[in-house]
Amino acid sequence: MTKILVVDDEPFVVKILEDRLKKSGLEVITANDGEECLDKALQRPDLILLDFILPVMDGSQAMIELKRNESTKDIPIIVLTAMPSRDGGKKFFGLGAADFILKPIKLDLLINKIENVLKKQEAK
Amino acid sequence: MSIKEEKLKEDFIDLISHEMRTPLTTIQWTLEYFLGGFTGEISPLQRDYLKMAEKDSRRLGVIIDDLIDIYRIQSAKINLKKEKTDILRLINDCILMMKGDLELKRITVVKRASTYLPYAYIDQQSISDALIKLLDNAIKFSCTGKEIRVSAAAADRITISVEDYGCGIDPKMLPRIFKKFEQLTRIIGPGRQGIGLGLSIAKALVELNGGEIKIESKKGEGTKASIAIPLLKNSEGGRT
Ligand SMILES: Nc1ncnc2c1ncn2[C@@H]1O[C@H](COP(=O)(O)OP(=O)(O)O)[C@@H](O)[C@H]1O
Ligand SMILES: [Mg+2]
Repeated sequence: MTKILVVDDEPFVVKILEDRLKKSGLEVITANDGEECLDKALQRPDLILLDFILPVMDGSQAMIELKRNESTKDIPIIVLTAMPSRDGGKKFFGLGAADFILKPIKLDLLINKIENVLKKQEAK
Repeated sequence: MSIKEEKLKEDFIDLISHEMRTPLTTIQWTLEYFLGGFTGEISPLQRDYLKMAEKDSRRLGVIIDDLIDIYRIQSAKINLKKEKTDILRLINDCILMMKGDLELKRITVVKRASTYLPYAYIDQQSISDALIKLLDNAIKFSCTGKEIRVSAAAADRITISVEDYGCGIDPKMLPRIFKKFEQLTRIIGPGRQGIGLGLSIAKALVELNGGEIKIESKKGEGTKASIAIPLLKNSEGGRT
């Protein structure tokens, strides 16, 4: 079963995403901050949905660590944030993101984007 | 204002945007979750109410975006990244973004472009945003089942036009539509329910790119909105 790691500091965001992704037949693990994200990433999820403004360790630091670690560096990361980007997400792509999504996005569309990234990853 | 103050203000706007978008996201997701039937069967009445709430929450989203755009334009906080641009591709992407609204109103888009279209030299994000506002109006002010024409042609500049066969605008009112918060008609239905900021934002964005926006209209017949944008200089060749 495909496993997704959902990282967000808003418990409500995590809950809805978890419920919705499960309904689409995905397995979900969750984290509420950057450090927990690194921890959970060791369970080798197939994809990480990463919020960017996070406590303890912020999203950019978490991405740098994930890309640095041999066992997590190939996990595709979708940055999902409510903070607008002034450069069309260049910063996130520069850090190795597979996609960048500004909240709010329709859940259906989000699932499409997740599937696209997973497909591309499979093709690798 | 000192650079430090400006930076603070900029960060503040981003933060406000973030703080407003976050609850908006969970509200929209909750409604979508219920409407999707994931919490069990819902009655037709419940569906109607949830749909209205969903629509209003999207309206709130457009207002947040528009207000932030206006702020950025006024404080010249839009960072333009001008680059060589394939306009047909940009047009296609914009039309794709309007897919939901087009389907809801069963509107078909007819595209037309000259065979030789040189590259434009523009900031893609801001011109896309402007074009989307024009498409949005064309959809919003057209009747169900109608057609919209989008064309691109080149002379000393590239002109993108969006033509609709909707309600049109009274010529006497035309000069007013670029004013902030100006709405001559308020349409309820598919389309982004704005607050009359759309065209003033589009105008500012196009002008920041060194372009020009123009609207011609006949009451009862339709409207043609055009954006003229600069070509890539010393262009070695265009697309065929
Ligand atoms: N294609 C169009 N057909 C008819 N009326 C239009 C069209 N585009 C704009 N208008 C008029 O100009 C007004 C201002 O447009 P805009 O600034 O986009 O604001 P909004 O879309 O939020 O109403 C609209 O409320 C409408 O009265
Ligand atoms: Mg509008």
